[in-house]
Amino acid sequence: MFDIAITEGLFITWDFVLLIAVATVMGYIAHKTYQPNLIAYLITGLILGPVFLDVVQETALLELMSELGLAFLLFLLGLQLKFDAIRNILKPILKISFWQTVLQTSLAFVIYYFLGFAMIEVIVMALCTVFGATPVIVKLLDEKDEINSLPGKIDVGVLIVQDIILVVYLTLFSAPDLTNPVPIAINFFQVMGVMAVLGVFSYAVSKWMVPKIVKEVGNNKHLLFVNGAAWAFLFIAVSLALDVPVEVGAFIAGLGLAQSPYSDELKQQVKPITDFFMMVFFATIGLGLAPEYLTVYWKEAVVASALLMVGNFLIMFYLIDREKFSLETSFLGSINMVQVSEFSLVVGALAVTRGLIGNEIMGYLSLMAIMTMGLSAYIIKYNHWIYDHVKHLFEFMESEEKGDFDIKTLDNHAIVVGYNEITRRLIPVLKEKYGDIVVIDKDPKYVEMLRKSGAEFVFGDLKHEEMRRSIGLKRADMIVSMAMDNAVNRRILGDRKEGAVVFLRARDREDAAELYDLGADFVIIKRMLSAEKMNEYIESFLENPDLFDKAVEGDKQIIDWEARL
Amino acid sequence: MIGVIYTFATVFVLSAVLLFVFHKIFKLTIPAYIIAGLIGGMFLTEEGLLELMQWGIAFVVFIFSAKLEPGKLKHGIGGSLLSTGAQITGLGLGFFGALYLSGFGTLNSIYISAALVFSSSLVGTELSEKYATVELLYARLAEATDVIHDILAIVLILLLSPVLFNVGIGYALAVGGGMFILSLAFRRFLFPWLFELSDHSEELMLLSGISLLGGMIAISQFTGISIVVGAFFAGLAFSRFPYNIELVESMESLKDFFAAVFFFSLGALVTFPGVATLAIALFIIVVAVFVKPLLTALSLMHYGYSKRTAYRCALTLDQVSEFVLIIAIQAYLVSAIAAPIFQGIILATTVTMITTAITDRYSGRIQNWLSKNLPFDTPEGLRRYNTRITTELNNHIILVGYDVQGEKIGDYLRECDREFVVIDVNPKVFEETEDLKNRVFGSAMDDESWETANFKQADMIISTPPQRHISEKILALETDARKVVRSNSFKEANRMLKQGADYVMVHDLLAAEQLMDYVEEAIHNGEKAVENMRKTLVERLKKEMDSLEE
Repeated sequence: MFDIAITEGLFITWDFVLLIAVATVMGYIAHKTYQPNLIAYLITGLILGPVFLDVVQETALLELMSELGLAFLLFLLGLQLKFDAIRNILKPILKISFWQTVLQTSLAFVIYYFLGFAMIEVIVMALCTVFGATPVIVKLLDEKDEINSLPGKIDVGVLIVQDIILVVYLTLFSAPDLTNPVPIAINFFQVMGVMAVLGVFSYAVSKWMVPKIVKEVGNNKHLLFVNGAAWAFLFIAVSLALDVPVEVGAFIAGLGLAQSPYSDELKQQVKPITDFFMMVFFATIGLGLAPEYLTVYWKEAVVASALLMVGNFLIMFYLIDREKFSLETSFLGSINMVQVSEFSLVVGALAVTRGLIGNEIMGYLSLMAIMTMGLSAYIIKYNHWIYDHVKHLFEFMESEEKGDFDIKTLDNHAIVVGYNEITRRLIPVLKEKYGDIVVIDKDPKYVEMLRKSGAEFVFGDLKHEEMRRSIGLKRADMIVSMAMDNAVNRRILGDRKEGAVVFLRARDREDAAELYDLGADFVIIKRMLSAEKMNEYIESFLENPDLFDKAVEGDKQIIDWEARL
Repeated sequence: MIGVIYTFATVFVLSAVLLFVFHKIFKLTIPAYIIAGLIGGMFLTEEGLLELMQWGIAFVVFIFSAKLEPGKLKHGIGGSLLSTGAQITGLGLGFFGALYLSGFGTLNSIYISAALVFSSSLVGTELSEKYATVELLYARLAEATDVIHDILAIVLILLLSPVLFNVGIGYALAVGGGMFILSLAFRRFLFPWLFELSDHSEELMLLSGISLLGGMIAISQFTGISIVVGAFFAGLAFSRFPYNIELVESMESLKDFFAAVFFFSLGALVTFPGVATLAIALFIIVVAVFVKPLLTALSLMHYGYSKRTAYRCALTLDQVSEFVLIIAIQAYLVSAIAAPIFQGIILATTVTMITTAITDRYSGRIQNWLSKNLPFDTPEGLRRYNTRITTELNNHIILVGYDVQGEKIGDYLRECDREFVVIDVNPKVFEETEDLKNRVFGSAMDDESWETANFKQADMIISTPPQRHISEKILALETDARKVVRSNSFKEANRMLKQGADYVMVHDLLAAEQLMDYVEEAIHNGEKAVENMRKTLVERLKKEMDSLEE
């Protein structure tokens, strides 16, 4: 796909500034109307491109960034696929995904066929439009704090399988000759072979080497990011050299890293830059569409969107229900998934460059993405409300044998931010009182140590909103933070639930006073705490020097014991 | 095109390897990129990178100014201003004059002088992170000095715009002023509003940040000012809590990405150095590593700081600033400076950043050596802090070090009406604690300090600095006094107990025990107890802060 000549024209230009400015405004509008940002970016491209104003051209800079966007998108996507997260529902997930792919593709095929599209178009479109949009679903569910609920887990699991299937589709479309099945098959198996080798290599490296590298650089975010980027580009370059689609290389680079416990922080590092490049990518799709491309099939787009949304919902609902989950889980799990994936545009764009479909089909796909994603954003937002109002229609399907198994969620737990000598001693006490305890630290070297102590360890930085959500900051009963960064501490105070006890650490008295003003229960200044304890010992000395010797005896033993460790 | 992907792969893979090595040895990043670029430059000729460098400059400057916190500078601003003033007048103007007279031409002379004067805040923060919590006077001085340098560098860039881009000086200043006002208005009114509007969304703040950055840069280009000025003011508009946190967090990875490209490309621009390049690099290195620090130290001593503080502070400033690279590349791209000078500056910057990592590691020893062997000292009359003993010292307690912990112990001793004397070498301590009855301004390593503190008659010696040589000195003193020293590691603490210490304070242990008491109180005695505890602690903190202000 990298067939653009970049030797000049990469300066920051007015065109580019206009593009980001409009994308920003559209982003705010989308945010306020609960719409996914993807739609905002697509529409930004439509506004600035030939469809409306025709003021921004596709420049070398935009092309470079949108190529990078696609590569980073795939890398991030791979990075998010943690097989561990769906291990206990893997079997039903695989069954659901398989049948969902078969049934929904068939449904889409029938619909497009009857809408009168040409056969090759029908095939491409049917393959493109059957899957759910990972960024939309994951982001909205995460914001609603439902990503770890059972329907959320089922959706994420199915999306993981779908994403892998989509990557396979990408390889199919990259075959040199698409009219003859033999070269397609040869190409397919070649690519699969390369993927398997890269995959094994990626997994092996991330299992054996990454922990060692991360231990060295882990608390240095800058190094972590550059290492991650180097890894991604290495795979992209190798794919390019081996004639495999670069998206596939990027995806596998991410997939291998995802299985290591250190991927969360890297994900947080890669996300902003991906968001930025992706903005350019989706806007560029909008820029590339002429008005006539959008109008050719708009009626078909409306009809197909409506039919597919209903049809896909029913298929998913049937499939989840068949696995004997409760009615509510089946309903929520399927209604979240009714939109068309952003990948329809990625695969579509590839199909256009291969000459399989025309630009008017790309216009059709864009319309469908905008309509289904736009509508499904509201459906996900109000999914419980919808369920409450229609559940009587489905009550006939309820039966005794159906039910959900428990998914562990963190609630009324204790959180320790920063692992050190001081908090290490607290962990047993907190564990006894609160049961669940999560320790989060920017340094990954404690993973092993903490696993043994029964505490859950998260490697990452609380400055990221997603990180705060994933450790259930808003539901914790007790929070002890050793982060001397007041920015983090302010966040903790802003997010904590009422009645939670919060111990924070401050650098100096000024910071401490500020944290008390913001509502901290107790602010630690290490040297002052230590001095307080020391003063207790001095008190005994002033009373009688022998008492001092007795008072410090216990400490001396601890020092002796610790020194031997 | 395919070439770009291979270029990016080369940039990042080479950088990652060198970063890893440099992180392990020096804890530095910038020289790693430049050297990666030097290597990569041998087989890469990617024109596109040069244009992408502009993005690197934009993001590096933007993040720098978005992180600026003027509040941090309040300590040590006087000394820093003085030392900067001395450098600029002494070094900058002096060398500029000399270079100009020896025929280097105005612009070349300005750029070389800038390389001689400015030191790096990025390197400063990378290296001195470990000091951040120790609140040492010299670290604060150095931090403030670096920030002043960076801001002066921006001003210099603004002033150079007329020469580089053919606009009038009044015009340049007017545009700069306009951007400054615009940035303040955004900072004050627009962004607080946007922050609320976005419900603190990271993605929207990121887009807003890039929009403003792009806008300001476009204005700079349109008006013919350096993009550095635009990027600086764009960052300034965000440099306010709380939204700078979200923004810096999310833009950091973009900065990391483009900064890698930028510094790598800089290295790639250096061809095999000729004699002229090497001579210029050598000249800059000698001045930046030896002359500049010495001048800084002398000016600080003249301001009344002790030898020790002055040398330590000076040792953190012995490198060339990355801002000089940004200034130089701009001039180079419009062919305003000669190639050997540009390459000399890059080489010198890289080398001094590496040497600074080494001097930083051994700064304690270097400072000791300098203090002993150089004939300079704070002039007697200017010394603002003196030893004072006002009561007879007998059965007293000697307190070595009077930082937060020492002070807290001192307060307690005063409460108990127990005679004590403080030994400390940090003038700031004496500045803030005029009411100490007995104090010895001197090093705990000096026998003289101990004689003055009458250590033989003391009942107890409590030492709060964790340095081993101080503890060992105390353990070797011949006295019956109980000896309490401090260490940061259990192993060392245990060794000191065996060497005769009566107790060794390990902060982690003491603090953990005390914290445990509080946490258990909070867990077991419920809401009421937490409420009471909080009240007591807030009151105590308030009292302490009030007494400090008096």
